[in-house]
Amino acid sequence: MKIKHIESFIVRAPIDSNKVYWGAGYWMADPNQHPGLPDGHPGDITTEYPPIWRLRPIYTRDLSCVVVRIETDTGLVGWGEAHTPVAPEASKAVIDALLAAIVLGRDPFDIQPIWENMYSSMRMRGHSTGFLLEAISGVDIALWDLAGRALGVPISTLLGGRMRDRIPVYASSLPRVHARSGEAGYQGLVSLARSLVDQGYRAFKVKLGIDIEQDRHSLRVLRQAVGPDVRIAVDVNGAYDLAQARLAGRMMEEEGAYWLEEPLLPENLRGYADLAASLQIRVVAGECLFNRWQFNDYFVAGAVDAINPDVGRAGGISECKRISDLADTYGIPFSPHVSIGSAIYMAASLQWAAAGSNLNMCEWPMDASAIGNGILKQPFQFEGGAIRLDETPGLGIDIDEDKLRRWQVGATA
Amino acid sequence: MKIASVEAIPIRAPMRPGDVYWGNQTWGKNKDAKIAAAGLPPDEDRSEYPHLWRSRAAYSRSVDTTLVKITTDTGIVGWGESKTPVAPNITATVIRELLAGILVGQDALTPALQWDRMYGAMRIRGHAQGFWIESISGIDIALWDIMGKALGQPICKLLGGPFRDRVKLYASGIPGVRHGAPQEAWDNLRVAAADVKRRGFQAVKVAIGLSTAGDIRTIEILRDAFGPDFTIFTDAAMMYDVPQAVEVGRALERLKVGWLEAPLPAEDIEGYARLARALDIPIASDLIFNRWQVRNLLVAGGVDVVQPDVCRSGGITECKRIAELADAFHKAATPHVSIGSIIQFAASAHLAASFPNQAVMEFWFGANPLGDPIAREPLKLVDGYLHVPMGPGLGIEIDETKLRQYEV
Repeated sequence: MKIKHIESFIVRAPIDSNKVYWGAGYWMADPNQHPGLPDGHPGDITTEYPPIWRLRPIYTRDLSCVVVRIETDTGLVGWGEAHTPVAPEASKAVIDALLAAIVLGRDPFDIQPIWENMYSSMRMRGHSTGFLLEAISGVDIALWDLAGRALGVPISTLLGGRMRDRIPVYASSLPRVHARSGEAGYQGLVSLARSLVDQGYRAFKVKLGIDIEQDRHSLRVLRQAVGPDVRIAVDVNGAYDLAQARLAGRMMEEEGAYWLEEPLLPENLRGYADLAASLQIRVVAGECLFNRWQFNDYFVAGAVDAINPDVGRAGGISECKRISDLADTYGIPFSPHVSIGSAIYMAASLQWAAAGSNLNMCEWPMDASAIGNGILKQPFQFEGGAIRLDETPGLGIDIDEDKLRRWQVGATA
Repeated sequence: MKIASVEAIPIRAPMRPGDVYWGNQTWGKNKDAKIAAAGLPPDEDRSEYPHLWRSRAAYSRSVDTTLVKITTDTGIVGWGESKTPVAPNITATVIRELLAGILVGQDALTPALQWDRMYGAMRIRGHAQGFWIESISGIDIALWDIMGKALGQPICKLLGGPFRDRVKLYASGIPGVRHGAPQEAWDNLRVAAADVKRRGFQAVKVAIGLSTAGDIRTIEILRDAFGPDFTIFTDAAMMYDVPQAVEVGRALERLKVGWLEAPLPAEDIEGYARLARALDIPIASDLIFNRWQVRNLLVAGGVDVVQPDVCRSGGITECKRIAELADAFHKAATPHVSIGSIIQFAASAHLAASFPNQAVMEFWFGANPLGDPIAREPLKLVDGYLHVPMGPGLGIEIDETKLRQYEV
């Protein structure tokens, strides 16, 4: 069996008619403006420390990703996805211009050698993070899907067998409440949290990270609303320096938060190590780390208590399984990071989660999306705060290709 | 003065018939039987350890790069370059889809601020290396070119003033020969050495990393060909593990080699530290991608010569910071200058002039369709030294018509 054809295409779907992605609503100065860093925004040159514009990401107003479709000479098809919250054109170009030639003609079961060939193509140029790894992730997931379908088993079986059929998930994510939104803002937060618990979630994540006392108030109203047994994880996306992170971490310990995610900027390995040593609350990082070596540096330094690698970013199922196994060697659990993407990406996260011995829980987008259940013949089976997996081969989903192609950029009708 | 437009120009310029980039001859995957006989063993041989194929790079047979043209509302044009030895349209896509939108309308005379804004835009997604930083590099160089042109000064003067007006070069490079290669390949080493000497260089770099026995024999032959006083550097393109690197390093010490570059995979910081402790020969690294990554290597004591690439490691702004960081550790710095256009060479010369801890600078001496041919004045190379072009900005004038003929 040989790989005969590899296709990549961009998918863009609306989030909802009147919503913006929670991350975008959080960071963009004006969510109604076009994606990107608004020009002349007063926050650009600031006297605040740390300066927020040094980590203000680009967002778009829709959901985008790059879907990879690999077909063998026997007519088997595998689906993969590269995580591309912005500029999917870049990752598509990587797949088409660089990776396709490496993959074509190969035995699709050569997943490991193909991964090494893709990685080595730019290794001496230091492309161990970023677009290359995201593109590799998409190809790798498609190869695993192919292998599973070829043998009639789910990917989790090929990864050494399932540890569990139910994957505990946490809802992601409640937006940060601005002080200026007043009591109404907190009420909105409370009703969102209650609706999650009513749906069956036993854990959710909230975005915090500007003012410590304001954040304390958010945690208190949330705890009051959901009771003592629901996990409230906190994500601040690198908003602090070390001293602030210590203070904020102590506050979160007092308020019973479950973990503190990305307290510092990703380059600050030493800061992470100092923080993890001084805080009791779990220090979590990993959504912007790539490859086993980056994670290993964090483990050796004692910089994290838990990790959340992204299967569409860190190197696909192959690399993420290696990373979570490596984490287990250090006694560290993992929680797949799942943000903007389609059902392919969500399913790949679940298959990996099912096979990892040290799974904590899996992130799960709390909003329905046109490219989530919307592209599946059977929706994900959510029950009691977990997703139940059945024996469907490969990624474990049945993709309705017509529905998926509806969102393909540049598709001919 | 505002940024009016940002244009990315993917370039693919054919090499002279028969020419193959020296790195490609050693570390690439070549169908040309003569070259393949001297370079890395075939990909299919995965039984030897360490596995050289795990570090085998993709190469193009043409000179590929991405040029950046930024125009201000006052009509000043700045040129930059992002390193893209393969697939330049990827980087051009990143610039068009993401970076242009961040920059248009901004104050053009704020390269450091724009660097932070650009880097911050993908920071929480971990794009600290690769296409993203390469794209930022090209823009940063163009903004410095604008700054120089707006103020009527060469870039090196704006970086605190040059320490030197000419930069000592080493020629890169001579491809090494694999153990077991035909005699003709070994004889060619002496031909290559004579060519480098004839061009007036006083230092050279040799691509090794193919096998310890072949690497050592390669350097023995070249030491004999060049004589005892010529400076020879080596680059192993991260093909070794630590024991091999120690074995080769010891032999290179005996052969008076100036440094051992990129002996281990970039990811193996602890390995670099062990190696630097074990060997006397300086350890160099061009596997340098941002100041935080270099900091980890420096703190570990894993490198003696830091080689940031202006078109890859973050442009003028970040490379200057990287050199100064290395200086704080009492280590040398020098620009890594591989395949690319005259913009790369000029930007590197300004950096080298401004580094307090500058070592010898790399210079790719192959016939380069994107070198002097796309500029109105050639670079001034005398006796193995590059004279820093002292006109405003990069100090070179680009002949846009000539470069556009290679636009993809």
